[in-house]
Amino acid sequence: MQSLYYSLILFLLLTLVAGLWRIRRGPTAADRMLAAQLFGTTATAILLLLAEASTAPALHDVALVLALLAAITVTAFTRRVRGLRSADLGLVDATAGKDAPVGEADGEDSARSRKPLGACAGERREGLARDASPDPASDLASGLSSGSANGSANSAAGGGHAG
Amino acid sequence: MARQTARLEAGMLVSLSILLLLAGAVFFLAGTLGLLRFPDVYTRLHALTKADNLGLG
Repeated sequence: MQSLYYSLILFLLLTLVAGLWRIRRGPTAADRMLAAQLFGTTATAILLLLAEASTAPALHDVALVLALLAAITVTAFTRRVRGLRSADLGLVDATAGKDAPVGEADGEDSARSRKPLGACAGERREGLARDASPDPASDLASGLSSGSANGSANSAAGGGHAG
Repeated sequence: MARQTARLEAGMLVSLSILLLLAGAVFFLAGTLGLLRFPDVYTRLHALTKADNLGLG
């Protein structure tokens, strides 16, 4: 039983090392965040196995804290992305308000499907790797616009699901 | 007799736990392979939820 535990721990560690490749080259920031989520889950499993293998029950508490921190990490990432996208939308509205009439009813949703974010999503769908992107802000915005590309329908579905 | 049933119960418990541990390891492997090989963010998210819910849970 002990040997099974330790071999499973070794297997999970190898899995984690394989997941590092996605962090090395995930095209967008969301990919790297997904890999970090997988690391959190794997580390929780490793700690639980280690607690059972070496009969150290305090490691259960460490695993619980790690799972809690993984959830908080996702919340922080989502908040950062939403703030960045709203700043981007402000820019889009400032430039588009000069040549477009302001009479549209739902300003935010129509601006979300307007040109700059859609253009970023099109680039992303063509498979441009932006590893060497100079500033992290545009990298994050383009990674995020996967949420706005497929898009407006997707956010509407998400809202209905959350409601 | 009671000792024998207790030993049988312990054996079943051990074998069941080994089975579940191996199933969880298989789901972790599937989730990591999906994270490495799937083409899109949403499909990678799908694979990651498999590793989360079925592997750890």
